[in-house]
Amino acid sequence: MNFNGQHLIIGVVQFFIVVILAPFFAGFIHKLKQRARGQKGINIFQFYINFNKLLKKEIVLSKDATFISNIAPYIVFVTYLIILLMLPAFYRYSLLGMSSDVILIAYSLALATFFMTLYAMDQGSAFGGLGAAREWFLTVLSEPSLIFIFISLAIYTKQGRITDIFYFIQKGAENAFLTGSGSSAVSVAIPFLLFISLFIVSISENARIPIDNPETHLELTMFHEANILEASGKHLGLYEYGSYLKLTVFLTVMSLILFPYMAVNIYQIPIAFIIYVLKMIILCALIAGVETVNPKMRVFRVPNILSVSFILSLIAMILSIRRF
Amino acid sequence: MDNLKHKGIFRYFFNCLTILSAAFFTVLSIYCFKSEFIVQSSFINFSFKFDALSLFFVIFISSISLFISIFSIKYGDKYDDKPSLFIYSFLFIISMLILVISNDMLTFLIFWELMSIFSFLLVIYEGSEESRKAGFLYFLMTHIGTILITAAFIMLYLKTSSFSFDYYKGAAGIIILAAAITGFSIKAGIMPFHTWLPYAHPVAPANISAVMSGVMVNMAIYGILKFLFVFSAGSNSFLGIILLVIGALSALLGIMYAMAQKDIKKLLAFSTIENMGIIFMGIGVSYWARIENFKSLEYLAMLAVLLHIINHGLSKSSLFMGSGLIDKYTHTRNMEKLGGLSKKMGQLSVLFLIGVMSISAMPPLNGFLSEWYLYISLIGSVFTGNLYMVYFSIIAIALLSLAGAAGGAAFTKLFGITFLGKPRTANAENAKKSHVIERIGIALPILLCIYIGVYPYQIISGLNSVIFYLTGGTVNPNPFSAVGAVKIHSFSLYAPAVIAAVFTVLLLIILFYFKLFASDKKRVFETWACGLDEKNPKAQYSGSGFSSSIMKVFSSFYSSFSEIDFEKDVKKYFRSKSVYTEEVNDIVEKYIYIPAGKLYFKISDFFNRAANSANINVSLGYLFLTLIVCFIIYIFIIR
Repeated sequence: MNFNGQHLIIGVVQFFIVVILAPFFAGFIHKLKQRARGQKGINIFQFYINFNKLLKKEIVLSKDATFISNIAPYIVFVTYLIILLMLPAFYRYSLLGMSSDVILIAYSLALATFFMTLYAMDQGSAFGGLGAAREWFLTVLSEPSLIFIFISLAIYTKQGRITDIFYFIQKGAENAFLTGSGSSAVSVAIPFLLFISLFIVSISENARIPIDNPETHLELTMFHEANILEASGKHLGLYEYGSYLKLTVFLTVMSLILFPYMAVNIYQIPIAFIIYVLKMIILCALIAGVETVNPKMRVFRVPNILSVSFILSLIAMILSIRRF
Repeated sequence: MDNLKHKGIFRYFFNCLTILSAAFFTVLSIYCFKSEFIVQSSFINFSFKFDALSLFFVIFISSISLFISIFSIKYGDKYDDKPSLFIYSFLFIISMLILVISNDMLTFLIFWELMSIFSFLLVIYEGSEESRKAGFLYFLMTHIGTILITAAFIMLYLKTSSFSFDYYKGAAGIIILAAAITGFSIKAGIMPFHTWLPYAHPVAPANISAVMSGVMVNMAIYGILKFLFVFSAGSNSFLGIILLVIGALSALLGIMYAMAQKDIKKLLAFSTIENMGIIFMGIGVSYWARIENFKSLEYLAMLAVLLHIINHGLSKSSLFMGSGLIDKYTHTRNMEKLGGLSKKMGQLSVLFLIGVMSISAMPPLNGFLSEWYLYISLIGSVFTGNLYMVYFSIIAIALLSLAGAAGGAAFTKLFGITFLGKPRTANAENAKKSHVIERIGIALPILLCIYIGVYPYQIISGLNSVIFYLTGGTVNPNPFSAVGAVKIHSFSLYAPAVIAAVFTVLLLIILFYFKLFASDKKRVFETWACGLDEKNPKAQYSGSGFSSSIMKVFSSFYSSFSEIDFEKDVKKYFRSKSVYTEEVNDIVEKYIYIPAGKLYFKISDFFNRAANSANINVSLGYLFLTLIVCFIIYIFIIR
């Protein structure tokens, strides 16, 4: 990749657009869910309003809180920002594209979990410890499949950076579409398997209904919300925004596996952007649908569904090895 | 030691002596690099050689023992009544330093044995029942290892008829390698042979546990590197695959058991098993690639190995020192009795946090770096297309990623339960602040952790000479040219530095932005406890509760036992007292070692009864039988 100003500027613009859009996607899912249940539903832009409101509120810190409570929200938020800086969304290059190693991304997600769970345990509340334990319970189960998904993408495309991986898939898809060459059962099967696998992982990582229900008023049933139960003011705002960013990260990766189209030059950007938003909306609808149809699972049923995801990514990896 | 005025003189003297001799050995090995010399005595010649591998290990041992000595200058004051600790630990470190520069098998074995003996004396130093039991187990296991290593060396001697390492190049066949690797893995605590490690490392004083976990286990890695990459005749690539699989299993099981522990030092000891497993995986990939002639993969995996030795040594020794401080100032190592130490020991908790992040491979720090190189090597070995290696490296990737996530959980538990929340008992409530010299001893390796994690090129180019010595090639440390080695060209070696820089900048921007544009009002209030104002710190989540759900899913790895014991009361919900006991047993110990021990007792009992029977005729018969057997051996075998 030759490093020039155009990539830099578009990379920054892409980053800001995605960061600004993140609460919209979350709000859209929420709205769809509520409409499907027959409720009137919130404003689609409600999450922006909430964030703004939280920034103006005061922070209530626990007596037992230590320095962890003061830094963890920022570290969690910045970690997700870093991951978004690495991801391409609708332009082929991202700002940190040269460092966007797939394993680095997977481990950065673990870093955010690490600090969020430390925050949960910081106030000495029993709910926090419960949430932290459950969050790690999920992470231990979903992290291997996440790493497997990323590594099978890397092996399939023989690329290490996530920008190059998706560019390679895009090239392959274009080639197959235009000339009909290079497509095979394997090259269709791998993205398909990885998509399903990643969909399961993102439902579990983003606190969505079959696995976690953040909307209930019972702390005992929560995973993610129990971690940030003690957060208030701008800390809560950062956590909330961070969770929208995390959702956007997973949705963006899924959208790129599903339909890899990224602009390679400045003229394709408008159409690429429209396609990106369309893909994201479709994925949001899919997630909302899954959330509406399914009831919440028992905690010890969760390993079953996550092991399905692991097996699917394992199959994808075996197929991608068969490619050469 | 009645004279109070001279209390502590041993401590100062021997710690300073350790520092000085560490410095002396470092200077000596740099000055005498690539030279060799022989110390002659009346009946044995000690020969020494300074090659790149010894230089690496000398610098490694001496820097970590420097940190630990600084730490023990103050920390050791609780052992002043029994100053043998300082003498033994000095001799222990010196014997390791001489071990890595020795150049013939007798010198190697003598100092290997001295190292084992001194560490045994340090394990039983506290003199309690627990430490004597652990010491016996350690003594037994380490000598089984020494027997195997000695056997390997004797076979090498028979083959080359020389004691010197110079003649052993390319001489070791598969049996010699198998014996040596088994012997060394007992010392390294690799999975089937690990049972001694979680008993022996925690019972020693903390500064000694730091040396044992951070440095001594790596002596086994030194031996394995020497055998596999210098002495090996090289025609058996499956050995690499075996090392990879055993390493992966030990990484996973090590961290799974670490998660189940309540004792801080025991948790850290199990984590040592995990990290030794990771190092073994790297050695396995590297050796396999060496035999199968995938040169660049070999170099990269070797880099992962050497880097992980350094990273594990730094973070593990600092964590053990930190756990020593917790033990010293709260008088307990049980996490369930601690909590809220972050308030009492602020600076220590920051250091401990960074150490924990480093060892659980969190991105901007060094632990991530070596695991990352290992991932790249494993992906590289998938690309080689060799059927067996592809199969086993996929399994290894799966196990490594599971171990990575479980490591995060285990160390979140360690830090969260120990340092955060409310103090659970009076021990934690009355914790005192540690001394500044103790904290300096911990801070130095932590600073190195950050440095290596953020700017690894210096150390990688330094390690290149070691990689060249072992494998004959180098890894390109240049930030702006990607590794052309493995077929994946675009894995960027400089990603950690960029990420760390951007992370810091973004963090500062966000901090200032929220300082300026968000409300800065703060109110300190009690944690919401559902309206109850009962202040019961035991109501917090416990350490065993934290890991129980993960342990339930992976229950086949454990053999755990739990029971609730309560008084037979009429009132079902208002019992006056109930006791919950839980113990987690090692499956290897339960299904291999204890049956083996029972079998041993049965056999020896049988022989005992047969041999020591009161009947004198039978005894005379045995005597006669022995004579005949000796005679037959003499005639048919020796003559």
